[in-house]
Amino acid sequence: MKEGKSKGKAKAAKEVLVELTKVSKRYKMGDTIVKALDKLDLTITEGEMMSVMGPSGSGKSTLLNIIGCIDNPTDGRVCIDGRDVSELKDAELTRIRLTEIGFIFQQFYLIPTLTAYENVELPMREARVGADERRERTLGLLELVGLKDRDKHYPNQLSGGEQQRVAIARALANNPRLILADEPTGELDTKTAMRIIELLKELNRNKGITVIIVTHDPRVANETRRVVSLQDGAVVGDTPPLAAKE
Amino acid sequence: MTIIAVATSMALLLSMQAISEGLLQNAKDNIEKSKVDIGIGVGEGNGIEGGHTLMETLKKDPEVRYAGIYRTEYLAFKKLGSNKQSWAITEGIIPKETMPILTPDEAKRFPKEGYFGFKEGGDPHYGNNFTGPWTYEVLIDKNIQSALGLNKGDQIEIGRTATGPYITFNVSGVFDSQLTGAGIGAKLFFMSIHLSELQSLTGNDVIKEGNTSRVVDKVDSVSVGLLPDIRTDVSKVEDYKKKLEARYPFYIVVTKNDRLIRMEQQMTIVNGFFLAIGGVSLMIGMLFVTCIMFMSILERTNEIGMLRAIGVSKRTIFLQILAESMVIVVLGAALGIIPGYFGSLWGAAYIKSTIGTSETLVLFKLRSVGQLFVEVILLGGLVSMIPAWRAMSMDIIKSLKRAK
Repeated sequence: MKEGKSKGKAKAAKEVLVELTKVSKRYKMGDTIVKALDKLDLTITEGEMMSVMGPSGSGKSTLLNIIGCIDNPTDGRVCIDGRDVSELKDAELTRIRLTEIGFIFQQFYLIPTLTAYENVELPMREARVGADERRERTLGLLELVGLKDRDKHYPNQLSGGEQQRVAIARALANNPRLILADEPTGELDTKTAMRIIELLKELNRNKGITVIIVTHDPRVANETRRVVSLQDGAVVGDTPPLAAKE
Repeated sequence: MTIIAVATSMALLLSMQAISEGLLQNAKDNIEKSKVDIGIGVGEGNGIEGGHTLMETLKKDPEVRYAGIYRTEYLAFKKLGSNKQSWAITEGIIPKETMPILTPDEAKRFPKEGYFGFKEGGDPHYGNNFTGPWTYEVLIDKNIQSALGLNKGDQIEIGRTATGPYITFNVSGVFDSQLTGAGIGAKLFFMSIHLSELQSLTGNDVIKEGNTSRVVDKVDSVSVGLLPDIRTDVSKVEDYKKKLEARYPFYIVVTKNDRLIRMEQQMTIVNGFFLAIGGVSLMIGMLFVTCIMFMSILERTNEIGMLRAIGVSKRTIFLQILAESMVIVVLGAALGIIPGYFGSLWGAAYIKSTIGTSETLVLFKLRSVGQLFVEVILLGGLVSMIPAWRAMSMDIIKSLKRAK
């Protein structure tokens, strides 16, 4: 799925990266069954920058979790790069999350006892990247997010925006093809939020990384080329790519 | 806090082990140093009849260097003219037969004059069927000396029962029993008198049956010392033991080796008791480790969820929690060694003060320390697997939601 094969194809024609077919997710809460997703169909091609919007409880985060291989659908099929992930074992799903998907969370979730450098380096250690390459890549990523001079700082010594940039660098650590951001600007002021979105746009534009952002914020959604709206677990709106925004 | 709990467990376990090993080694040393190669006794009942005759018969065996007979009774004693009596463990001996059996260390505890205090080495009262003269000689221990304020040459009354009849004995000397019993709140008193006089005092000399009487000459045990070339050869000792068993089928013949085996069996029980105490403490320590690690993973639920979400494997999470837990266990176990060392010295000192012995009762072996250290770490590793397993098995979404 990585590098040669995919990038070669990506240049030739936009290939389908994520495909959800009749995906449902039901939870049991007490005696009632809650439908988080209801026979949802969605196709995401490589290189897209899209946002998912909808009211609370519409299934946005569930959708993101299922695409991110940290949750399984109750029914339906989820394919990532042509592979049905619902058939994969936990270890294989973990490997996909490590090498092919980058997660960005609203609360950043940096490890407080590690420096910015160590936080970014963490997924590379897990992926057994060699020490020299790890160092080179970590410093490169910190530079990319504009924090090279803050590499020795601990999370509590960084501002909210800086912490989220470290989290973005961490998400990019193993060169993922897909970035999943769950309300990445939810805890940031407007100015900082826009800088973060700008950074994600740059990654999408320059590196061809597919970015999916779950957000409540219409200003964030406006910055993406495709907006999928959810309600009661179903797609109620899917705007076409906005050429004008290119 | 957790490290202290583990350290305390380790210290307690180490102390118990060192004292247990010390006690065993001390007992073994005493048996090995003993000049008594073979002991003859009876399992149940009131002793061996015809003790003096048996001793003389054994002394004629070509393997035997010396033989001594003994009887121990609990006798009342009091200061001359006093109404207040106490009780003493009283050993009846034939001094000249007992002298060769004492080790140099044991002999040091007795007076040097005469037959370690006794003027008479033999057993004159045994004479003609217990009709010989009484010596009225008694050796008292330091505890009686200090309790009654007696010295050599003073007199003391000794009786079979508290109400008497009492016979007046002369103090021939004072010896050190090395047992005070101070710590157990009851002072231990020891005396030693001529065997035949003890037998007569307690009715173990002659039994009167109607108009007739029969000499029973009851003793508790016979101690036998063998010739040097026999005692150093285990097979020869065993051969002589078999010979005695064939000759005296109703008696129990015990060699040094038998005593060592029995001692080890008895010490297994003591060991078990000590290890149980240490084990309970260790379990508490390990419970602390498990609890603190559970608290730690509870506090870091979001972190663990995030790590799993970004692709950190279950194995890595398991190993990380296990490693953190092991750091606590290893540090605690290491920190427990020094207090364990001093704890064992204190424990041995306490036991010594309790029974009043001056013998060394603690053995701190490096090998045992190492073994215990490894055992504690292995147990720590085992219990640490529970929180590590819990962390590894956490649901990613629930963990992330909890953080929110």
